[in-house]
Amino acid sequence: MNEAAYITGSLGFQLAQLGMWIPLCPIIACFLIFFCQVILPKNIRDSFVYQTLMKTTSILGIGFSGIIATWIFYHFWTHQLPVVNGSQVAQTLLFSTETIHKSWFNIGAHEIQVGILLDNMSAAVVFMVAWVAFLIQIYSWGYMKGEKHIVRYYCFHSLFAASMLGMVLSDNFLTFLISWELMGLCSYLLIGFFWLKKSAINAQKKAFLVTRIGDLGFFLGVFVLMGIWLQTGQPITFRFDDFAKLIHEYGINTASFSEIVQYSRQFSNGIPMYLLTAAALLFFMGTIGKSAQFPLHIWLPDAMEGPTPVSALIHAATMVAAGVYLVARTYFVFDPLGTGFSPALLVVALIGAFTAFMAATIGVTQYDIKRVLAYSTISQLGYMVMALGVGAMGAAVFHMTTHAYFKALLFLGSGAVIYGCHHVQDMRYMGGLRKYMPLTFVVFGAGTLALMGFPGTAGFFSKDMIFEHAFGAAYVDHPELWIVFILGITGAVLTCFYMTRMIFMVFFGKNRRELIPESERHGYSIEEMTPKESPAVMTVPLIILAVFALFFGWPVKYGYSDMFNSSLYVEHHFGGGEQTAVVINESKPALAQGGQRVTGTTMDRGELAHGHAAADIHGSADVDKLHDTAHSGSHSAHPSWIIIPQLLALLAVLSGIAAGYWVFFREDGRKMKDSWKRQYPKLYDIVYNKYYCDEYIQRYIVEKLLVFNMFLRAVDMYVIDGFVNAVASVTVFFTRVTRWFDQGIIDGIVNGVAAVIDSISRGIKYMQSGYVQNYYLIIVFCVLSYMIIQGHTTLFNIKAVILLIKAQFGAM
Amino acid sequence: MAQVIPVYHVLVVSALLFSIGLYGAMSRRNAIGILLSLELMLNAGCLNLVAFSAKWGPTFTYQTFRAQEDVSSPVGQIFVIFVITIAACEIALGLALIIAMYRHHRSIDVDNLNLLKW
Amino acid sequence: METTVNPVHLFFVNPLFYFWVFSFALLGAAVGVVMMRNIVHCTLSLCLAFICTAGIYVIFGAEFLAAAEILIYAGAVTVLIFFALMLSKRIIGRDIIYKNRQSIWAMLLSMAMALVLIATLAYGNWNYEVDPTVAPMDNTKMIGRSLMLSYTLVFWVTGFILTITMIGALMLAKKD
Repeated sequence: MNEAAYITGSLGFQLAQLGMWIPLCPIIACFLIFFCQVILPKNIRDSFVYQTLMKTTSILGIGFSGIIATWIFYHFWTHQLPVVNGSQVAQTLLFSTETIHKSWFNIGAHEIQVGILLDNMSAAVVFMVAWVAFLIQIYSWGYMKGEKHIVRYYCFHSLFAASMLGMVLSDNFLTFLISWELMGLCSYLLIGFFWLKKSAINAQKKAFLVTRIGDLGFFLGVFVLMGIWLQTGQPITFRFDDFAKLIHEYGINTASFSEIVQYSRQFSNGIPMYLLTAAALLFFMGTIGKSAQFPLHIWLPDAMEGPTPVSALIHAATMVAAGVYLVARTYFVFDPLGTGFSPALLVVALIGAFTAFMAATIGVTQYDIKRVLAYSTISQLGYMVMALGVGAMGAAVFHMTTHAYFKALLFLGSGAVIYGCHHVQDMRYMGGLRKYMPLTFVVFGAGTLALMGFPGTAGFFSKDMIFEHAFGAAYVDHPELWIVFILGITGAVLTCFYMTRMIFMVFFGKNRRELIPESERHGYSIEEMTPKESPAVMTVPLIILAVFALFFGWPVKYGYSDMFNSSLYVEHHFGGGEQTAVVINESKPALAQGGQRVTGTTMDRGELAHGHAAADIHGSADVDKLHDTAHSGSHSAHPSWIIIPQLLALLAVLSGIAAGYWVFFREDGRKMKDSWKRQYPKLYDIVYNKYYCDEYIQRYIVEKLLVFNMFLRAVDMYVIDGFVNAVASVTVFFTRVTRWFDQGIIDGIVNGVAAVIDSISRGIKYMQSGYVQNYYLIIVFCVLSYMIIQGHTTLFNIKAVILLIKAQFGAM
Repeated sequence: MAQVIPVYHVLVVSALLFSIGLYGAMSRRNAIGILLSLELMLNAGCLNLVAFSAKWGPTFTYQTFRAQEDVSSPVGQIFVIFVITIAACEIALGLALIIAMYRHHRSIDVDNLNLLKW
Repeated sequence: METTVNPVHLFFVNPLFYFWVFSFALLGAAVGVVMMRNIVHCTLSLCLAFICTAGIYVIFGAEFLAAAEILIYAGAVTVLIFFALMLSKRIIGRDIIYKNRQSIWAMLLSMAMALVLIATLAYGNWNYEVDPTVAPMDNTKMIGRSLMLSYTLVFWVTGFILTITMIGALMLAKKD
């Protein structure tokens, strides 16, 4: 990173210095609310004024960070510095104005630094997170009205947003992990917000534990990466750019595991590829957990037990986006060669595509409006992960952003629907709502179109970009990725299908509120259950989100399409120096000497197909020239096949909508659907029950684990406890011996000495007679004794004394 | 006949005087009697000092502000003056103590003051 | 010039004679102080002892001290003691038992002390003698000069001690 790396805003300070306040604002609000909650007495806490004040504090906190995020986003957007020479990476540190790195704490001689990392990607993501969270908090004002513990809700909400923002802006694994875990905690707290509901308690536990499995992988991945780092002998660091630089500088040794073990154990010929693959897959475990990918997606539908705004927050802005962001941030580990393809990325792509498809099929059959949206979230997350897997990091983050807008819109819209229907969530009891809540219908429709990827909406551009990359990767280099592309396109069809179904069931047809069973009416009569439009505090955020969901794609597509590429990654793999990583195959000594250089084969496709001919312009410092070059290249660099995936995606959208229209709006289609349902009850049942994922996991993993736990418990009880008890018994025995020795001998000696002294004292205490003249007598006696003892040789010489006295008197 | 008094004679007298005072201090029950004995012992000391002063005094060199002149030294006698002063203090304090003691005990027998013992 | 001097006369002009006269009187009075039953008699005996000491002081040429002795001891202190006696004894009578239980031991110790002192002092090289005839006659002047010049600090301190003692004695004797 050179001197020019510091982007200073027009106010003259470093942007990153300002960016530090993005996570700090909501976290300060959170702590403020927390301490007020702790300190103040209950009658104040229950007062309306206090609650309003606290809600305002929380909203102001996230609002401030939104403003700062906008400032930074605007800056990155307008400067449009080319990513290739890396000058977009602006980094400074938390709590520092002058120095580059600020020490956080020391482990031995190792200084651990903390800081924030601003690049295109994080700027774009914080902009999205802050404003979506802000709008959701505004919305919650109306939706959670009358909730008793609303202040607690806002406190957690602020913390949630703060930890997501902190994670996005982290420049090292340590703060990244801390924020990541904080998010897990916040999701736990918020999903179980209605803690009197048993199902909410179970859901929160499930969410926390399932994501923890992934987090374990993430931890281990960091350990692997640290292990690689320690091989270099440099001081410990957790910073992403250090790791990226390491991989770039050391090069990659693509030899297989056995070959490396056979020939060399050193990293002198580059970092072994298998280690990086292992680290990447472990990171991806974290993504699987947090972003609800295939084996661990089970927590996300259950998380619907939380309040609807919380679902919106989890699904749009914070929780699930974290996993995708993790892969994007650590892309230098996933794709160390810079080719857009690696074993780890293949796994990522396959899991993403499968998740996208599978969740879409489940979404077709669900009836709970929030569950349909939950499966659609899983499906869309699958698309993002798929995009990451095919080497389209920018497309993935772009889709994450657009998805945040339209999914927040859809969730908040569904919240409005639920609010309007008096907390009924089952779509079978809705219908015809467009007459009752037209505004909600319009914005919900906008969100639906964006989710479908209808041409012109934000979702269209992002999804289209993903399909282009997937197609390109399969068509140009890697035929094994065709399955990914096909699953993705099929999932897109299904997405349109179930969204059409949802729109039909909720907003069209006849209202079916009379079908609501007595138990779900919450004490309302059918007349009182008449749907109603939401208040303005809820609809205004919806309208803003609808604007974003519809139009956010245009400026990105035709403005600055590299906004979502992590410049940290691009810098270290395509920018600056000669080429990308040097590949040396240890098992082939002849090649090893020359070093096989892998050129950027993905330059003419992948995200760079849209962007720039990066290899041509490296090394130049003229920013404007680079800018022009990049953008003049962005339109001419389209390969000819690019039209195919675009057309296919369009076809998928249209066919999905058409099928949905036919099946749900037309009488004959509905009949056909019912006959299919009767014909294939088994298939319907399996899909309706989410492929029995929960049940399989329950039976084959959880129950086995419980059996194993019983075994462990037995070991604990009999072996460990037995050992402990045996140690205790031996200790008790020795203690008894010691006690005997102590009491009999030591105490005997001590007591004996004391008794002797006592008897002596009893004898001689009478010297202390109390008569002052007695003491005087003793003093005189002692003095006299001293005189006699000192002078005994002369004093007892009686003769001499008499003679001397005579002589003295004789002087008379 | 000698016109002088040998110092040893004085010493013997003062030793006897001191011993008599010692006996009184150790044996009188009356607190005032003890005080009287102490005065005897002090006087024995003073006697010595006066005798020494008479012997050494004339050869003492005395430093004044202006010049050095040989004068007879009154050092021993000054000692005695201080002793007398301190003895007067002692007597005053002792008598005050005795009065206080009498006020508390209605007696000035020191044998009655034997509370502070084993 | 040879003049015959009456030996008896000589004897009476010998200061040693007067010294011993005073000394015997002093010792006798001292014995009276410690031996007499009546404390009033003891005090009077002490007064006599002080007067005898003053006589010895005169023999040694310390007239000022002799005067001070008589004024302070025989005058003030004795009167003070009488006051104390009158304040403390309801009956200024005789004590039935004026000696305590250890008086025999005290006697032995005192005699031993006297013997040890005399014996010890006998070893001293007291080869000088008091010559009263050469004693300075401006004794008072000398004392005053010394007190004001060499021993000023001590003089001051003594004054303070006197003051403090006076306050202390007042505090102690005060009826409260």
